[in-house]
Amino acid sequence: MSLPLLFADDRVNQDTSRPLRSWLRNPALVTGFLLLVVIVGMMVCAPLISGYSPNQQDLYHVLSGPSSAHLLGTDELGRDVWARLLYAGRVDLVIGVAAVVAPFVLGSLLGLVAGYYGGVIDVIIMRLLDIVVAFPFYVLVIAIVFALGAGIGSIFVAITLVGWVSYTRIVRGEVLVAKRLGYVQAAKAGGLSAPRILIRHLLPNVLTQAVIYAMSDVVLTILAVVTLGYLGLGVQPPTPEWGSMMQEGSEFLRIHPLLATAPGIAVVLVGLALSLIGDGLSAELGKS
Amino acid sequence: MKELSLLEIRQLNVTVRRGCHYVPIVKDVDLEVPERRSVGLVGESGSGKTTVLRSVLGLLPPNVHLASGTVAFEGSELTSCSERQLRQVRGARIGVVWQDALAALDPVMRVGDQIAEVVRAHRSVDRQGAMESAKQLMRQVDLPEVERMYNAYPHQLSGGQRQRVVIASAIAAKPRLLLADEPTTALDVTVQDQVLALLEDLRSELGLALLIVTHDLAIVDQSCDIVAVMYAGRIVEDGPVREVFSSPRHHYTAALLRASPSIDRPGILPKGVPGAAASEVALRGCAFAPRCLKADAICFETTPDLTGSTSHRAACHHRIETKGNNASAGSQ
Amino acid sequence: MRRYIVGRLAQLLFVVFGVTIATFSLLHLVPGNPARTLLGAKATAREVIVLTREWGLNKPLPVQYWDYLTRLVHGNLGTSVYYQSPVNSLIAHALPVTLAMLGIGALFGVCFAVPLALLAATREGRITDHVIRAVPLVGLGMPPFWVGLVLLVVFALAIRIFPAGGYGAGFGGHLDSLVLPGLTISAVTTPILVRSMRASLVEALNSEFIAAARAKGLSATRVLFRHALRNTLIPTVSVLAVNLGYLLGGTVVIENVFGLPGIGNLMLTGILNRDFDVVQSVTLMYAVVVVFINLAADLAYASLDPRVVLGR
Repeated sequence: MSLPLLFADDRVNQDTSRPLRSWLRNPALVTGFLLLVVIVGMMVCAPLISGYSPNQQDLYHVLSGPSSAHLLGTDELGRDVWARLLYAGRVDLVIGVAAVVAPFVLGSLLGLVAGYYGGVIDVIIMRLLDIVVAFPFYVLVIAIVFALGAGIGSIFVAITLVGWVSYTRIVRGEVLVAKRLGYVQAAKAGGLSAPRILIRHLLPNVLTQAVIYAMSDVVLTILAVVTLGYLGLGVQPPTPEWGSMMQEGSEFLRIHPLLATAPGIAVVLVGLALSLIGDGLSAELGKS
Repeated sequence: MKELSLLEIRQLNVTVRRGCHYVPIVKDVDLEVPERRSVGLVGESGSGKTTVLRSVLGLLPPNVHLASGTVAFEGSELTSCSERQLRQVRGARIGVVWQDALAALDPVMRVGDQIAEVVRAHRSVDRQGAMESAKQLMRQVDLPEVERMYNAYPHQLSGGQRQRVVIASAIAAKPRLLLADEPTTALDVTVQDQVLALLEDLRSELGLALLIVTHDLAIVDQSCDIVAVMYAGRIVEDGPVREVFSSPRHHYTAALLRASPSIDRPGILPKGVPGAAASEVALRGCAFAPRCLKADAICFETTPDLTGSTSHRAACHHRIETKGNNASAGSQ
Repeated sequence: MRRYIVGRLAQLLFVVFGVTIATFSLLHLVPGNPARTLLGAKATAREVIVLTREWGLNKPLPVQYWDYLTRLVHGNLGTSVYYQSPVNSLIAHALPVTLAMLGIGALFGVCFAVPLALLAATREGRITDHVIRAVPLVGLGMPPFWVGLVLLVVFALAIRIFPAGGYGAGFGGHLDSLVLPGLTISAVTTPILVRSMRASLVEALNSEFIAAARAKGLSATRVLFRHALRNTLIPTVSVLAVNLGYLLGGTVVIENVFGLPGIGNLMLTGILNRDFDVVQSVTLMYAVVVVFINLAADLAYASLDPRVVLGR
């Protein structure tokens, strides 16, 4: 339902020969990337910036506010909040990114197979999908982590078991469309075997959307890790983790609200950076 | 004595914003629609004809701007009107018939209500009164089973019926001028004739003036008194239909006529126009020159002006001369 | 239409079956003795044996599943070890709280999102639009429970307008205590709604039928609300429905922050106290609710959009 084209060829002023240029001009992509670089940089250099070990307790100075010694004050065990924030960031970010890989791979594979072969395989996979989708995300993740026992391993398993769904949907959709396009028919006519068609030809083209989604999925996964941490089901103490920091801090909301709110701000900032990158990417990759 | 002009467009210039530049898409267009007359604006897609139509009512898309020129309607200047003043003109004094009726109608509103809302916007009637007026209008445009059709949704109607609904809403507030953007292009051939006949009937019944934008010369031949031919954003020829079609002065017009299967030339096969239509305004020289068999150096250098007798003008350095044609020779 | 509903209910039944199998296997997923999982690491061998016998955990799996199904069909959702009462009544008391919170949250979400989306779409490309587009970007990265904590700090502790937790007494008390949780939920719903409504409004505003409506001389208000917004509501309903499932899951944590006795809280205490019947039944119930919400959303969509013909 767009306006009728006002002229035959709408030549947009774009430098199609240098895609990198276009990427560099995209404000969302650039801002997001810079922000991410700053954040990751701070985390990587954590030992240099903070000067305290995250688990170093100082029972003479518990629950103190921001000062020249401690940028964000100390928590209930006298540990430096700023240091904990940075180290926790390492944990959450790494897990967040790593935990997206398995659902991405599994989901995309299932989507590829379901879309390409169709028939019984498709029906089975889609019914399985319906069942998983029937459960609210967090409910299932929490239940699985509960069953398997808290910890990083369980987080990975739970997120994989629940998170593959979106990728399967996306990839299957793309495959269904691509199946009708010329290059698939041509490959088939050329006598290429099915797996070869799938991997060499279909895959690169249908994965774009999945990759774009993966960006926003990292944000969701980090949120899940943080939430599980808040509930005590995630990364176990004393390893600093934003979620468990917020849980600990929630008991001291009245006296030292910073304890619970600072980690959240960190999550928001990371989420902002990743979302900006995701938005920028989808704008750029969608331009083909 | 010249007829009274209902709509007078003078030196209209429209530009579109591409990146940081402003590219002209309509250049120095002069167009007049006298009272009760039917004017056809002809051109291929990309010629800018739809843009001219949209400029009249200030309905250009966000990155398209009316750079200069005047649009006078009933003596008042529309380009300097506020949005509120324009709203009083739209619908009530000037109606629009759209090309794609399915796209022009709100998909989630009943068609009858869409006609009624025009009535309510411009006359102080209550809902019941507006509904009655809408039904009356639906009968006027030959829609069958008005009672039932009033409550139908656009997707439930045929193309021809939808177009009639659009026409009904265009005349609902009794305008004096009707702007039609390719009113029959999206329709089957048989339905096309019906709709054109309907427009003709309404014209005489309501004393309407008509400005039809189209690429189909047959329609202009059938329904219009005056024709203006557009190419690459400019008017290249205008005049009474009979005269222009029987003795065209611009080579583009002549080529169009040759390519058109049904105009007045029984037995002669249509011949395509070589090359692709230019979609950009030529800033130097004649835009048609690359495709014109008679073009020479001057055609590429200097843009020809629209000149000729007061009724029939053409913008060409090498006008087609026919016997009995007392146009001034050569270019200006 | 009827055929469609019957078809969907059949599909629903299938999904529910699958869900019961999934929730049934929750216990058996865990490596090791299920009875030990229930009792925790500190259980004695004796206790394990007793429980195994009591719960029939040594019977073959299909038999156990059958017993489970039969029990379900009779409406027996088990008994809570922790609360010492039937799960049915626990859920009956907890469900309204959660639904009320979700309802208020969705309402707030719509109230915030509509004006923001309208503003952004009508000023597309300008500063207002860019600022409003930042809302989803920031909002989607906010952990809901953190929003709850912040709201608590500001509105319940610093400025004492709302209660810091609990459900309150009486209708007024209930509402009072649901405001902050509702706002917390709207922190999730608003960004999602703003994003999708803005996009679909922009698409509508650039479409031919809006130009046609303006050409009719209709007032800007009428064009915006009666035509553009109306058309936007339809895809928004789907977006809301799709996200409701996700939201439902989020209630688990939010209820924890505010100490609300809803089903989310029930689920959590069930988990923490190894109250298996509760966890199993609540999980099952969540899934059934989501399936019904999706059905309701499809029906709503069909009734709003005259172009949709169900069952094709």
